Amino acid sequence: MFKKILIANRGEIAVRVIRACVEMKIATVAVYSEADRGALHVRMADEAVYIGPAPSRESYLVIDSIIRAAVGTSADAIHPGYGFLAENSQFAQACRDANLTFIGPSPEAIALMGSKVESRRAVSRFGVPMVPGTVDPVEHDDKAKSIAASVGYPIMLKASAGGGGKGLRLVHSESELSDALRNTRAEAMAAFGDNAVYIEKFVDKPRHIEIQVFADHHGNAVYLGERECTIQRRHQKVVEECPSPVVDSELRLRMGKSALDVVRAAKYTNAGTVEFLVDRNRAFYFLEMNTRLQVEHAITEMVTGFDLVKEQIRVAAGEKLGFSQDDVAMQGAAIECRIYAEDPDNNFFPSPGTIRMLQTPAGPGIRDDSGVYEGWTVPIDYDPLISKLVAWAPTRNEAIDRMQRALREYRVEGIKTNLHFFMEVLNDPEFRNGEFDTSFIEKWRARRIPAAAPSQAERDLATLSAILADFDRSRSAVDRASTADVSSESAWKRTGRQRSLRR
Amino acid sequence: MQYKVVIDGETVEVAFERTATGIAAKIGDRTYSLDVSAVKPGVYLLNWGTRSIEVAVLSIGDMFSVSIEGHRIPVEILDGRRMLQRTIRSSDRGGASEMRSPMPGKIIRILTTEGAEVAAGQGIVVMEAMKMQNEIKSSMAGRIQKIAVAEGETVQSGALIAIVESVIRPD
Repeated sequence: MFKKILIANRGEIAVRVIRACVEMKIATVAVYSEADRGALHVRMADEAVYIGPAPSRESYLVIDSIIRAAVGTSADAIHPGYGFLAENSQFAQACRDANLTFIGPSPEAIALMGSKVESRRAVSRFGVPMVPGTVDPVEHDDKAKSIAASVGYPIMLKASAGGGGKGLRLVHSESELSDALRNTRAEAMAAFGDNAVYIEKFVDKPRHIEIQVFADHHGNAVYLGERECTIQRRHQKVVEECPSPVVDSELRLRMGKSALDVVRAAKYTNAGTVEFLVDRNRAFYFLEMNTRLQVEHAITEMVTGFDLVKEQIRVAAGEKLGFSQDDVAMQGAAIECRIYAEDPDNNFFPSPGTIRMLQTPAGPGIRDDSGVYEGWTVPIDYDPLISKLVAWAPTRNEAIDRMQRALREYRVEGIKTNLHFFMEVLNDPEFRNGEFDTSFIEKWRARRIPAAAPSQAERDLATLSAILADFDRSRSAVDRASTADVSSESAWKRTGRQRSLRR
Repeated sequence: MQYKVVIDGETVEVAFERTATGIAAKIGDRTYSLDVSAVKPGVYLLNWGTRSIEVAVLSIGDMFSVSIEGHRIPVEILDGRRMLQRTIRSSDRGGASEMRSPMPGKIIRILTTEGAEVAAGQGIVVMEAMKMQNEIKSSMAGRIQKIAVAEGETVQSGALIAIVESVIRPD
C-alpha cells in the first residue's frame, strides 16, 4: 500500500480524498495556488506544496509543477480528483514516467474515451447501443434521405464542428429535410467555417442516467448501479439521485451489462462512469465515459455502502476489487444538491466572496462534503462549488424530506448561494413525482411561483435584530479594544464572556 | 431609544429598549417583547411568545442584512445620534474624493462652487434630514471638481454630492 499520496486538486474533492487517506493511515500532500493559501484542503493535509499563481493554467493545470511536488515530497501516488488534470492522458503518462502511481485509469484508456469518434468506434464493436445515425459527415441530400429514413424521424441535423447549441436542427419529416440541410450547412459555415453536417436520431424528452463502474488490474469489473443526473442547467448537473426513479432492476441490469462492455472496450481500470441517454420508451444510448471519480460519487456510496475513494486507492495499489457483482446491493435512496456560491435569481451568476457565517446541517442520513469554512473567501478563479450536500433515507420521498430539512439547517451568510433554489426545486410536484427530462429547469423557471414575501412580523423582527446588532456592535467595539492582545483565547470563551456582558 | 429604520425601502419609527433578557419594542402600533440569546456573533435566537426564531445579522458598512425564516432583508438604521456624529462617507479614488450623502434628505444650501479650493473640514452643502440641518464637510483639502446636486434637491442615501480633487502644488 502507498505511504504517501499527493492530491492534485483543491476544494471539497481534495478534502474528500484526504479523508480517505487518513482512514487508511496514508500520509497526504496538498498542492495549492496563491488563492488557496489557508484553504480547507491545505489545512487538512499533512504537507502542502505551493504550485503557482491563482489562475489554474498557472497552478493546478501545470503538470510539471505537480510532478515536482510529488517527487519532492516522496509521494508514491497521485490522486487527481475530478476536473483539472483528472482526464488528461498526458498527466497520467507523466505520472507513469516519474514512477508515480496515477490513481485512475491508464493514459491509453483516458485518451481513447476522451475522443468522441474513437470512443464510439471502440464501444460499437462491443454492441453498446448508441443514438442511431452517422458520425461521419453526410455530403449528399440523397444519402441524407436514406440515412434519415433508416434511423426514423424525427432526426437531428448536427454541425460536425458544432457546439454550444449552434448548428442544430430538428427535422420531423422527409419533406423538411432538403431545406433543413441547406440551412444547417449555411449556419455551420457561418458559425464554424465548416459546413459538414451529420445525422442523429432525435431523442425526445431524454434523461441523463449514468452507471458507476469499477475494474481492477486482475480482470474483475463490476457496476454499482446508476445515478439520475437529468436535472441540469447549462449542461451542468445540479441535483443527482441514486437510484433513478425510472430505472428498475431489469433496466439496471441491461444498462450495467452495457457499461461493462464499455469497460472491456476501453480495457478500463479503476473507477469510471458510463453516461447514457434514456428515452421515454426506456431505450438507452451511450453518450460518453467519464474516466475519473464523478462529483456525484457520494450518492452511490450512500446507497451501496462502499467507499469509492478508498477502493480507488486499493485498486491503484494493485489489490483486487474488494467486492463482486453479487455483493453490490442498492439500499434506500440518496440525493445530492451541489451547493454553489452563485445567484440563482441572476442566471446562476457566480458569487464569490468571504463566507461571513456558516452553519452546516447534520443529523440522521446527512452528509456534507464541504471544501470551505467560516471566514474563508471563495476565490473567483475556480468553480464556485462550496459543498455537496447528500441525504440518504430508506425511500426516495424520505430522502427528499430529509434534504429539505437539511437545507433549512444550512446557513451561509456573506455570499449568495443556491440553497433557496434547491428548496424550491425539491418542493416542485414534478420533481417529487420523478417526472422530468433535461428541460426541467427551463420549464420549472417558467412555472415557478416566487417565494412569498416576508410577513409583517418577520419584517419587524428583522428590524429589531438589526438594531440589536447595531447596539451590540458599538459595545463589541469596546470589547475588541480591550481584548485585542488576547486573540489566542478561544472563540467560545470570548463569545461566552460577551454574552454575559450583554446581560 | 427612538430609531428611524429603512427596511426594504420603507421607513419605520421604532421605540427600542434593551431589557434584562431581551428587547421591548414598539414599531408603529405593534408592540414586541422578546427574549434574546446571542448564539454566536451575528446570530441571535429570538423567543417571541412560544416561537423560537433564529436570525443572522450581517453588517455591510452601515447597512445590515438580516436572514430570517429563509428571507434576506436589508435594513438601514438612521438614528439621529449617529447622523449627527457621522461625517461624510468618502472614498478615495486616486487623488479625488467622492462625497456621498450619509442619509436621505434635502439639499438646503450649497456653500461653494465648482473650481473653488476648500480646506479639510470645510462645509460644502447644508442638508436637511429628519428635521435637522447638517453641513456636509469635505474630508480633504483640494479643489471642487464637481457639485452633483442643486439647492432644493432631494437626495437618497449614498447619492453623490460632490467630488473633491487634490491639488498638487509645485514646490
